[in-house]
Amino acid sequence: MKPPSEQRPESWRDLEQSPERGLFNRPTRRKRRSLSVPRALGAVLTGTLLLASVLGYLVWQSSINEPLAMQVEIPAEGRPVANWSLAVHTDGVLNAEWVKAQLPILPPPEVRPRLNLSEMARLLEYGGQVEVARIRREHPATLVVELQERSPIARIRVAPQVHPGELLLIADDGTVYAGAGYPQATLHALPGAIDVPLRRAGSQFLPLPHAGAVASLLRGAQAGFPEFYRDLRWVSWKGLGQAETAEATHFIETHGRTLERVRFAPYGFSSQLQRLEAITRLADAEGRLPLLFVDVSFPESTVVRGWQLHAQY
Amino acid sequence: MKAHDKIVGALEMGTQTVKVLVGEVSSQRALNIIGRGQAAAQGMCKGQVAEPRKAAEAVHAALLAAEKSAGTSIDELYVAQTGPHLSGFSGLGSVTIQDAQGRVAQSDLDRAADNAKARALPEGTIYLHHIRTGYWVDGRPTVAPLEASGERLEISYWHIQAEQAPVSACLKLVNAYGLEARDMILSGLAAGSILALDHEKQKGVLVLDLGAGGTDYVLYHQGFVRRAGVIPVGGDHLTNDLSLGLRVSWKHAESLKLRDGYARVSPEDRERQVMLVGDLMIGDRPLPQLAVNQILQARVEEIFRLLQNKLGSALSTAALPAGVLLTGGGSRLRGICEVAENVLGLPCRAAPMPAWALPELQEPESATVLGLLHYALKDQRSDDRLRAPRRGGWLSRVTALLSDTPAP
Repeated sequence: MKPPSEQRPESWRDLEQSPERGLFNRPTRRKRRSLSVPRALGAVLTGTLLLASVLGYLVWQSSINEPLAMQVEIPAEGRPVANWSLAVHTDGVLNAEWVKAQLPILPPPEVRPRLNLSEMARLLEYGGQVEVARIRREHPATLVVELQERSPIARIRVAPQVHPGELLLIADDGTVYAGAGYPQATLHALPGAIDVPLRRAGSQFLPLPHAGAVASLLRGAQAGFPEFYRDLRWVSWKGLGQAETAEATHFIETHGRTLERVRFAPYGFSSQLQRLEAITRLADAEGRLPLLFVDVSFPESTVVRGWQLHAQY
Repeated sequence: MKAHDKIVGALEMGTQTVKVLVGEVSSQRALNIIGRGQAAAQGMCKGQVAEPRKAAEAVHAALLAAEKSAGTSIDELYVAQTGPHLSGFSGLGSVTIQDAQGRVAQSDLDRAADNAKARALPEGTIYLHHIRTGYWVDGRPTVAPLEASGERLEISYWHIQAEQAPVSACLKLVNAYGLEARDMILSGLAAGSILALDHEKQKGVLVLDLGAGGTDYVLYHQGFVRRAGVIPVGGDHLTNDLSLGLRVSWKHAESLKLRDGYARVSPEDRERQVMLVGDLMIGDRPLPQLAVNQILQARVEEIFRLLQNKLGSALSTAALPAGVLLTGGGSRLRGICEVAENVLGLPCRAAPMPAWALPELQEPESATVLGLLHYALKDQRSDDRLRAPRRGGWLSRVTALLSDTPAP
């Protein structure tokens, strides 16, 4: 009989197993664990430094974005602005009541004070709804206020901790503001904005990039393809970059009831809307609405996906 | 963890993923899954170690992640085996019953078993499993032969043999981590043990585990395993076919298979198109659905035909009234059951995962590793060593250290 070492193994259990202490064995892991303590300390220190620098940056940012309204000086002997007569002219929806509420307490007209009109105008512009405010004084006690308002293109529903009103509006230049004085029907007719890169600057928000493109699309749709505009529920910023530069890969997506998802290139909207209208009418005639997805962003072709329709036009 | 609890690990080295589950077998013989680890497989090809260094990195990373997740180290490891190096054959052991009254004794059973296992294997091959498939006393099938009366006792086994080199390579990977393999189990057996219910095993059922590199099968009948083995064709072959046939990258072929693939061609496919990437960006392009499905159908049919050739007459409705259960990542391919039914002529369905498995393990890809753990529990239940203390006292450990022998 051969010695055991020379016997041919019959089963895998006859194969010799010798657990080695290689690269990943347990003692090595213990060493790695012991090494990990200084590493962890280093990581905590680095994290603290990073956190401190981020906090510092945020404090600095908020300090440079302090509202200018605070710079208006209010005389101690002042009385409400109501003692003054206000003549408000606007191209939008705001009225004299709103202006009164925004302006600070002014000294009585008989004191003949020197009013800081430019500062007051900036105060009216601070909220964002007023694009340009011009104020002049007509002696003895009349303030003439001319307002040029922004017009909203979309609305954003936000959490109460972001904004107490929970509804913000986006103007065509990207300004985000809490709208005042708009009729409920006007607000309801606006499409919602989703995937919006909302960034705070103090108590206000930084202007949204690419709002001009979105505004062109929505205004174009309102004028040229009103059925599509009425059907719109959401417009998405997801395909648009963070910066105001137009890339070849950027796109705007809208969500509606009949056209569930439509993708547009961020330029040349009239031809895209024309193609979209033609496709919608064709699908409607063939009873294939609603369509799941239409992509008109490529000039040479349009991709359509629907419940029953799946083809290229 | 209580002093008598044992930590067992289940290791599956797949072609795409290395998976490890860690379970705690309590002194009440209950199993708690307490950790899991996973790593992308490297250096593995069809269940075999192709590049030991890379394979070791992947296996050790998965083991390390599993131990970290469990917060403890593995005591005993159970390893799944699959690949073309495995094959099976049937063997019969036969003895004359020695008792004067003709009653079967334990010694008769042992002699018959030894007789059945006595067949010498070719050079370079070893046994992986001896799976008992039935007893016969005087030619009559018997479930419990002990004390049965007769003159001749026969035991049949389904033997799984393996090439020695791949098994040794696999053991070396495990040993290099500082662990011994407590047992090695055929992947299909592990999966089948938890997926097929007892009454299905009794009636007859075929469990197919469609992995990336190969397809494991196990056929149950009358409560016993009748056949088990591996077909070296799996989901990666489907991806490879798509990649070559449609001239697209492997990555795109894989996502196309999962997203838009259907294992059966239908007339509507002629008009359908699928997008290569699906994001409609530059680089994306339409592909005919017909071509995708034709490629998939051809390869899936081939897998089932290979199986048909292997199992032959065992694949009949009479022998397998419970039909075919599909599991593994490949079973996610839509339409694969229909193709299996067409080719094999048996009812087919995706195997439901056992309800006791954690929600995150309720996926066909985890069937093997879960089955391994289940096997480990059964093995531990039958192991008297569970009652013994896990480690010796400090004195015996110091003695062992000084004498350079492992502590008990």
